[in-house]
Amino acid sequence: METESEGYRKIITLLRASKPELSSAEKLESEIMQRIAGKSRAVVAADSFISFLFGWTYIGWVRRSLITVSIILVAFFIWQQSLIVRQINVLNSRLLISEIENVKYQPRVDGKKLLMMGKSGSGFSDGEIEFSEDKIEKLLESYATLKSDYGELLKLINEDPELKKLIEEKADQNRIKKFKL
Amino acid sequence: MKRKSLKIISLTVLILAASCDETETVVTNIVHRDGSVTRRIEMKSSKHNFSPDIIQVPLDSTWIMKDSISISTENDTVWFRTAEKIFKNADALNEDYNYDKGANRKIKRSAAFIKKFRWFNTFFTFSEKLDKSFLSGYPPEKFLSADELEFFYLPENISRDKLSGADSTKYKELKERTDLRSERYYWSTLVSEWIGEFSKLTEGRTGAELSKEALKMQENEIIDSLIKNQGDTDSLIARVLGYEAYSKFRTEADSATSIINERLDANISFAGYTVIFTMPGKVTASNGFIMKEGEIMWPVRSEFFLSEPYVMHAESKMPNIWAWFVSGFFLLFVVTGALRKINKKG
Repeated sequence: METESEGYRKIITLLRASKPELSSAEKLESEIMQRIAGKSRAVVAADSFISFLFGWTYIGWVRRSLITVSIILVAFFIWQQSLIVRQINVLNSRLLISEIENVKYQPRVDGKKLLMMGKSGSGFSDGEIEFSEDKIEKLLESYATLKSDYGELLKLINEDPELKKLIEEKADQNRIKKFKL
Repeated sequence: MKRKSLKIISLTVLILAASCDETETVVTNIVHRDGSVTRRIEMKSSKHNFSPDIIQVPLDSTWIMKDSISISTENDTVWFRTAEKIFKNADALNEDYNYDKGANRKIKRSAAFIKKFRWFNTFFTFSEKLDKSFLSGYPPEKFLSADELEFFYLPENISRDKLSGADSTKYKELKERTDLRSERYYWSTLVSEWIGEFSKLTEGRTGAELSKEALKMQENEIIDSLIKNQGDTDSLIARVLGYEAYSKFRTEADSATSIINERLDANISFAGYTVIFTMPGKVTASNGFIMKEGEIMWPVRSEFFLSEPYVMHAESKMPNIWAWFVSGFFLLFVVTGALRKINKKG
């Protein structure tokens, strides 16, 4: 037990004897002091900013003016909104028209469909069929082209006896087929 | 006074309104925030004739146009034309109205756009106005009650629906009453106009018995005679003015009649149409009929601007979001300051 306590005392004495040596004690001190000063400066700056921001609260006429402006703003907002609501209520009481009977641009039906309907002899479906003037023009153009091509083809056939004979044979064959059916 | 033309006024208006050959037209004004207006004209006719001189509103080659036709099962052909143009502002629209060569060129029309900044919201007002045909007429409110006025200004398809709908008896009675009182309104306006013009032409040359006030005293008697069709107009005027005065001021009386006939002609030759406004933002006020999509519609007929200008107006608003934020921050700032002050005092 004695040896243990003696050893302990020796260590303590040794530790006490070997004090930590600061290489730049002055520098450390100044750094610590700077940090402390910096912290308090930030707090002071924030405080002074808030004081500056709300400094007007200490000036009577500015305080009163800003509060008055706020009240006016709120009152104006309430007045404007209530006026709008009142106007909308009046508007809602007016007659609501679901549709206008008059002119509205109608959806169109494709020209091809119209042509097919005409050919099949089924006539038009109930209601109305609409198509644009452009499409009619295109249809008429196609018809004119077809007519002229057909004319040219007939002319070509008539001019060539061999071709005419060939086509006539083919036509006869078709007629026989139809008859058999 | 041209008695025949006066007597058939109501009939003519009706005939013109119901005329099948007339191009049915819908004019849509799409109003933008900057005051520019996209105007779309939709026309429907049984003939492929959309010549600008028969169209109700100004239309020329500068418009983008599109045609289509519709053939019914009965082989009835209906032609459609849609024209569209963007106007920089209401002034550009007015310029078109000023140089109008169309069917309604005799009637002065104008458009106006107003944009008002009101901090939380910006308000837009767009209106179209048709000037009155007669200067000394009476307002229809003098002759028609509120419900009659409402019926008077109804679009034709709506009044037709009402007359054949569930409350048809009620509406038929209302129609009869409105027609009767409207007739009196038309005649009163014409007679008042004639008295006004005659007084202007004879100003300072007549005695007290032919003054405007004295003639006005006989107004009801004249109107009753005209409605009951008692005698011809010349003898009626002679009776009102006194035979001696009539022979003295016959030229002035005829001039007054001519002026009225001219104005009447401009009015009854007006081709009716439908106007639709599409406003920016939410519509807050209007004197038109509200449609499903938030558009506003007005029928335009000659009897609407006989003695009073016919103004179609709509107001809409758009919220200024930034102003709401600025106001919110400002209020927060002031309230915080005030609370801080109260706390420090405490």
